[in-house]
Amino acid sequence: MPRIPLKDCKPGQVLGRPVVNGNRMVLLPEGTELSSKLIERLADAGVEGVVVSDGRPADAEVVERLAALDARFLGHEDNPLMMAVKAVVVRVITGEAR
Amino acid sequence: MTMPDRAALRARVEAMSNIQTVPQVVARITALIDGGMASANEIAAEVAKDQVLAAKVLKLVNSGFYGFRQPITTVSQAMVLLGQDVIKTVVLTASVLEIMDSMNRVFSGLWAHSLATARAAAGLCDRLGIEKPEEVALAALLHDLGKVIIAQRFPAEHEAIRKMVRERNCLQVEAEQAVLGVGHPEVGQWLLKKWALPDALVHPIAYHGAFQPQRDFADRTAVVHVADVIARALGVGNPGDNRVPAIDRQAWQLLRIDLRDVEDVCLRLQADVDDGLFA
Repeated sequence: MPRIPLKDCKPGQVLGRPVVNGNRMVLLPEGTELSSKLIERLADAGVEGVVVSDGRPADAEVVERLAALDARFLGHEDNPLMMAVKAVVVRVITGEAR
Repeated sequence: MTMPDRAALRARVEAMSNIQTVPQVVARITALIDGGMASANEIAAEVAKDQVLAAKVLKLVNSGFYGFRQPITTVSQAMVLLGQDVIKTVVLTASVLEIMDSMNRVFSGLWAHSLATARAAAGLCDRLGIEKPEEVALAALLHDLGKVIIAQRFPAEHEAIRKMVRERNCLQVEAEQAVLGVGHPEVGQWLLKKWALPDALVHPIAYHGAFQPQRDFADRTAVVHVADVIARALGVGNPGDNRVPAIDRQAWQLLRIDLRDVEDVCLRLQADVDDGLFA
């Protein structure tokens, strides 16, 4: 999903990821539809950019990342440590690990 | 293409004049810090006198390396936020920023890979209680310096290396060995040694690919090695190839690391990605 500068945000766009401040506190949750008032407030809070939804189902991005992960780990099938590390990364990518 | 002579390669790297002036500025600031009498404000004032350096320091602290999400606008603000212990590293890092600026000209995504490796290294230091995390993170940030040098200094060989990586789907370092007879960790080491930088910084860069447990600062080297693998595994940025090298068993054991540590560092790195730190 694309990250865009706040100044390019338009009302009606939907957040693809939560907006967090420097302390990792959530200012706006994922899925929020932006209004001009919300965009102003984010600007006041010093936010410079947000991730907006590109309309693709979130799953599509996960599937893409998992396929790329498989390719990167080719050749490590007999290395238990690397397979275990790969399993950790799978959990992180799918959101299972939090 | 015939394989170039190793000593000749080294001489050409050491003759890189555009960055040789760096240590003079660094020497002045570090002397002030090592003297122990200077306050953070005095050091900030010294840095601020050199406008080019001050601009670089501000660029660095705002680059995402230190994870600040609000812009830092003055050198003294940066010094207060980072603390005195970190200042030397900041000045040093800022001085080599030009190299980092050129990273994405080597290939797109090398800067993001370097920054991700630095963030992963900082996360590992935090989890494992390793001292001076900012120095380890700096080594991680610069771990692929040799790739930049090869691209700048040996453009024809660089093209041949890139072609081999595409054709064979091998690690970049394997192609470097095949084309140049030497890999980027060693090439980076040549220049860093020429700059007379401390082994604490040089060793993790020189041995991040081929871990050597008997060397000094092996724990830092092991951190940079594992951080590189984690950044690659998660697919943040572009190290130049599409493979993940195996984690060295001895490095893993030395750090007494386990999979929960890896998961924690991966989650932090993914949070950085979601926050747009590498965008």
